[in-house]
Amino acid sequence: MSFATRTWTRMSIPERLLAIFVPLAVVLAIATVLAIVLLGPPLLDFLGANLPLVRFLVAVTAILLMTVPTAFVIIYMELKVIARMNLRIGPNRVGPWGAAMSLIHGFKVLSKEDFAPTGADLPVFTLAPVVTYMASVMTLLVIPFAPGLFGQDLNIGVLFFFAMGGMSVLGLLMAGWSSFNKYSLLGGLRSAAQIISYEIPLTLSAVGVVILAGTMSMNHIVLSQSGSALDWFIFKQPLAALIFFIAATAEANRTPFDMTEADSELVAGFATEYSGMRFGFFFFAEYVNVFIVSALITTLFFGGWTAPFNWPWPYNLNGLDLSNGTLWIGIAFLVFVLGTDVLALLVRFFGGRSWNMPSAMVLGFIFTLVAVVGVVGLAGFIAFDWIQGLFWFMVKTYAFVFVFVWMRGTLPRVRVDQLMSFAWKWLLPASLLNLFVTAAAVVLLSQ
Amino acid sequence: MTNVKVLETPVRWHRILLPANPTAKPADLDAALKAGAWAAFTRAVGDMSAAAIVGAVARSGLRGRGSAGFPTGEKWRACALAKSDRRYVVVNAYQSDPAVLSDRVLLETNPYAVLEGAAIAAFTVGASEIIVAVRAEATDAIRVMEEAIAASEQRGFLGAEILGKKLEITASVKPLAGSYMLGEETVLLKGIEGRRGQPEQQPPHPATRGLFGKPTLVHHPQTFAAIPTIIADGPGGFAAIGSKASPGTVLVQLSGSVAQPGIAEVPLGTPLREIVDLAGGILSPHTLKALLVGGPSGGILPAEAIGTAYEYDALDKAGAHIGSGSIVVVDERSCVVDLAAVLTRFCADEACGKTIPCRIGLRRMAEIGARFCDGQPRGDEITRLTDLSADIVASRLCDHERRSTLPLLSVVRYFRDELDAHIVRNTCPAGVCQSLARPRAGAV
Amino acid sequence: MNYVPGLGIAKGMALTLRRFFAPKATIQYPETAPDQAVRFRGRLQLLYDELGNVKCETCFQCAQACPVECIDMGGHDTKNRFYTHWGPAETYAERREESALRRSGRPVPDPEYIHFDPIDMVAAEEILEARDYDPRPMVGLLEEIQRAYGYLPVAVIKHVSHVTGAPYALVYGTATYYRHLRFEKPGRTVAVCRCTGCLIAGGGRIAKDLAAALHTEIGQSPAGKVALEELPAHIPGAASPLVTLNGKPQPNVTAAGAAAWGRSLAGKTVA
Repeated sequence: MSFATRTWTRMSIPERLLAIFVPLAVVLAIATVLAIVLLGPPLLDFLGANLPLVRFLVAVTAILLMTVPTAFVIIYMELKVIARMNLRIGPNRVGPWGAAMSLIHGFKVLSKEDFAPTGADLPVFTLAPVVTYMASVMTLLVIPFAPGLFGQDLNIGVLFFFAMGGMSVLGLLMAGWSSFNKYSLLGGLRSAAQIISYEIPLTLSAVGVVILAGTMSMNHIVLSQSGSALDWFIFKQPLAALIFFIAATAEANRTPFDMTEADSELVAGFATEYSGMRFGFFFFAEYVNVFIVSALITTLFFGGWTAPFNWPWPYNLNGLDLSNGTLWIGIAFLVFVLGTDVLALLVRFFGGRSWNMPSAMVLGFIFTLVAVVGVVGLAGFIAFDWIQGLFWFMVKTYAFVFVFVWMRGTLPRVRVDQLMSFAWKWLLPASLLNLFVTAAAVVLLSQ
Repeated sequence: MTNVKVLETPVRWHRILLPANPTAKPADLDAALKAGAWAAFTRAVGDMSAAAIVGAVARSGLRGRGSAGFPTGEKWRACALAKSDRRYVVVNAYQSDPAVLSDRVLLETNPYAVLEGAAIAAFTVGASEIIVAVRAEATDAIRVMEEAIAASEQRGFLGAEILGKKLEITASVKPLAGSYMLGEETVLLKGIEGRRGQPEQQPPHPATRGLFGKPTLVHHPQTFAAIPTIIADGPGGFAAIGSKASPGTVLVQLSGSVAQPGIAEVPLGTPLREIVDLAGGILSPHTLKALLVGGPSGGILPAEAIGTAYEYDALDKAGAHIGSGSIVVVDERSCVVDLAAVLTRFCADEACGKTIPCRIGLRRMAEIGARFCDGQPRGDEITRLTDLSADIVASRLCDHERRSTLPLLSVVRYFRDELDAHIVRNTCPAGVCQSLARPRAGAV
Repeated sequence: MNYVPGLGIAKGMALTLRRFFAPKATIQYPETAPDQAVRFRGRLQLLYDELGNVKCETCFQCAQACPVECIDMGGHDTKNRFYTHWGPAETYAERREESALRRSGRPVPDPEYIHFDPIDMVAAEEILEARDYDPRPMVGLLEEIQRAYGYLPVAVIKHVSHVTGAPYALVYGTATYYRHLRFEKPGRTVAVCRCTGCLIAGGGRIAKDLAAALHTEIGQSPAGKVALEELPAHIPGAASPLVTLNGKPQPNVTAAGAAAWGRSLAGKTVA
């Protein structure tokens, strides 16, 4: 045996890990530094020349990264809110107040066996969840989160949105067909029928808004609602808002229109044969859908990122001088150290003997962090209008997410025939009526 | 009449319970009156107040002969104090011990003493009804009591207008059968009511809440039979008989390996040696090995303890009790371990099943006893046995549980080497235990 | 239309919103312990001991105590003294086809249920009439019934429970306690005395040997075979150890010869 082999067999596992990773880390560090030094400037020049491309890539990455935490938050909300409405508490053991529950759900879904049924059409089977998920994610590209904070300001934004929404039907049909299961197929067809039936009232009610705003660009729709809360389109298009809300619930497969995914109906409908992360994609896609339709309702009818009333802020910190980096780092350091110490002492004073110094320091640090974040957030809120806009947008969107979850906890689901008849016999005529009235009003008022 | 011999006792011993000269017709009221029956009752009803009677009984130091040994005067006081419109007096002549006949003999030979004592008690506590509960098999005793009651009612000592006064006390005989546990106070009351005989939690004691929910005074017939003597001759004389803490006499039945088994009236406090001598001593050529004092749930005392005084406290300290008044003499032919095991098995089978320590605990003790006899204990069974007994005694509902632990506990206490012979050396010195029996000649 | 469309939804959602803010009913165990009554027994379950025997005496006390009368029992008690026949088997998830046959009135092939042959109820009715249908002195009533029929037929117990209004659990609970009350027709009975004198003379061993020879236990009454019982009291004057056959003492049965005698008794055809 060579020296290397002998040494290797004599080492314990932590030693072995160190032996592998420490040299690797060193090598990587050197390589990174070299890369930055050698390749950095040319890369920056290239990026600087193609700023829109960079912007686009950043937007797409941000949106992709945002969807999964959003889904986690909405899942957590659903668990807790519905529990509270059922006079239960919901998960409260897994993390602080059960916050890690969604994370655990995610891991659980990841850890399941990844199989496909025999006879399934494997490429289609694998791509179906991807298509559905991507369809949901791509719609986020056009939603304006804040002034200047949107993926892409397409001037056919609304149309793009509904086009992508329609693409999710494709994913469902692919899933139902490729599962090689009659009942999945039936479930998939039912889902598809449901979604395309409700697309028409959805689109028609949105057209009313488009007429009022005069443009299909989402950003401009939001801008045309700026001013105060009275400028929001909800007051000008109440019927359209109602129809849109109902149709959106059906589009997102939420209660009371969730018979495709109810456990008592065809198991899981089109997703019967899916498990593991494939199912996880459908799962996340549904919750992202909830977020998207809420965002869309906010954007179209409730003013998007506009505040309900104008902030009379005399201060404009847009001209904050951030150039002296060293000064700001010094201030931050001082704040943290002082804050940690003072708060640690206060904790020991009020908490009693049970707090030893390290725990008190940790708690002091956490409080300082919270305070600093709060102050910075407040400052940002006041100073940067995109933070304000984001804040209002999120508040309104999550209010609607809450309403969706609330409806799930309250309402019984409709039968499939009731669902279809409602769409074709009630919502479609109502949305047409709304369209005519809006168009007539616009024509009359413009004279 | 019940076929059992009444043994001769020394002249200096008092005869309170059994008649000095037993007659052929014990129910004959005239003969009884001549012998002094109903005199104490007449005096009590005529001259004494209830409080005076209770005081006399208390001063006499009479203790309940139902083996609990509770001071009788206190019980009467408690019953009289309980507020109610109706009270009962119950004579507990149901003797659970299958072999002992002393209560039957008492009822057959001296029915008027029991009746008179019960009537005095009824007058004192204000009861209007006396129920004499007897074993259904004791047909002679039932007949004699019924005759005595009829004669007393005819003569005006019981019934509607007693002795011309506005006093009503009726008496009846109730035969009972079917369960060993009927000897227990509360179980007896349930049996009289006609319900399932399971004991009740005490307090409330029967003196406050008993038969049909009314205050009930329950006593052994020997207790009642002593009352006329106390009232007629005064409590001091009674207190002088027997020992200081336990005055009076008690009926004892001697059986087993004795020359002349039978019943005797013995002053409390007499050493066991003298009592065994009444029966002619051990049956020769055998030697005395042990004394089973107290009936099926009694303690097995060794031959060295033959000097123990036969009275409540001394026997309790020795690990036995008066019980049914049975003293069984055991000679060297019997195996003490086997005896304790079958006695515990008997007690476990007779248990009513209401409480878990009794129903399951006694069964486990019987199983341990059986394992001792087979010489195959599971681990340290002696400690387990003592712990189990302590738990049973601590959590018991009625005294049956406590007493049933006595046979095995006394074997562990006094016959440890015989027990060790079984479980350690795997032999049965007496040659009784079948799986371990060795030939008698040259036994280890 | 006299209803407002959407009002139902609105009311429902208002309710859930109220519930959202209402105090929650969850008890956070184990940080807080639930509020239980002092004598709470948890889930009632029949337990088995380590030998596999059910720890139930079929004493009917739980059935008698239950205010809703939802407890029924069937099967043997732990001392194998009797088989209780009454009560719907379904309550204890017993699959007894006999119960369905019994309800339909058809004859049941199991010999245990032969008692459902019609019994002449006249004697029972006379007894009940004389006692004014009062179920409270239950032991006396049952003793009289036993005197009239020789044992306690199940049909009569049913009838008693029906006409007096006493729950059958009360009737059974009382009858199972007293050893002189029988549920089966009396056949030949061997009784062993277990008083202290007889036990010293070997009575315990005699009981064991007879139980083995007769293939039964003390207190059991196997149909058609010899029953083994315990004498309630030693017959005065009889020698120890005391064994009786149908009430007559058998002086020739000793500790050594008990097994052989028992086998000869069991071998004789049923009289």
